[in-house]
Amino acid sequence: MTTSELLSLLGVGPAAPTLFELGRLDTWRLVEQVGAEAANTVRAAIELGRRALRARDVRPRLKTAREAFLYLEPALAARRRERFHVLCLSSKRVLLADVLVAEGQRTDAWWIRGRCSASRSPLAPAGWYWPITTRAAT
Amino acid sequence: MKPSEDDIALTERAVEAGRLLGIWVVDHLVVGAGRYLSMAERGLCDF
Repeated sequence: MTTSELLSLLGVGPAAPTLFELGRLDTWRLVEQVGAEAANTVRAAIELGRRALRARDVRPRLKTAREAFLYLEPALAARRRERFHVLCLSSKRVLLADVLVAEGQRTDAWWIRGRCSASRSPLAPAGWYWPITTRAAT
Repeated sequence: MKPSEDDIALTERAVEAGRLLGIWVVDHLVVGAGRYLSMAERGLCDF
């Protein structure tokens, strides 16, 4: 969906300011622009977006195999197909990326993402890779 | 839980590929049925 379509779901008409501007308007200006009812909805939607971005920044430290297992277990539970994840860790074992590399048996594996990026360089010697193979419960 | 020969072979290949690129592969976990197997803890590969 386009940004305009998403905004229309919140009750904001096509004449509204851009999304960037909406996020920066104070309450009174926002009410002026989109009406009192839509203003509350827009405020809530923008705040949820901000919180979602902050939640993405939470990076666990995975110092042991058990900690890596506990991190991935919810995502891997009750899968019918084998998955191959790569966890990219910093030198202090802080999770930098969790990449689902393949799903299915080796013969029909399909590549979703083949590259991980770390904060400095994707190939920096400090980068740690932790491959995880999950097997469907039998 | 017991790793298959393919699991062990994959681990060795990943470790070797990591060495070529200067990336330390620290472990390979096999997860299933609420349990896991750590290749490093079992000493199944030279990490």
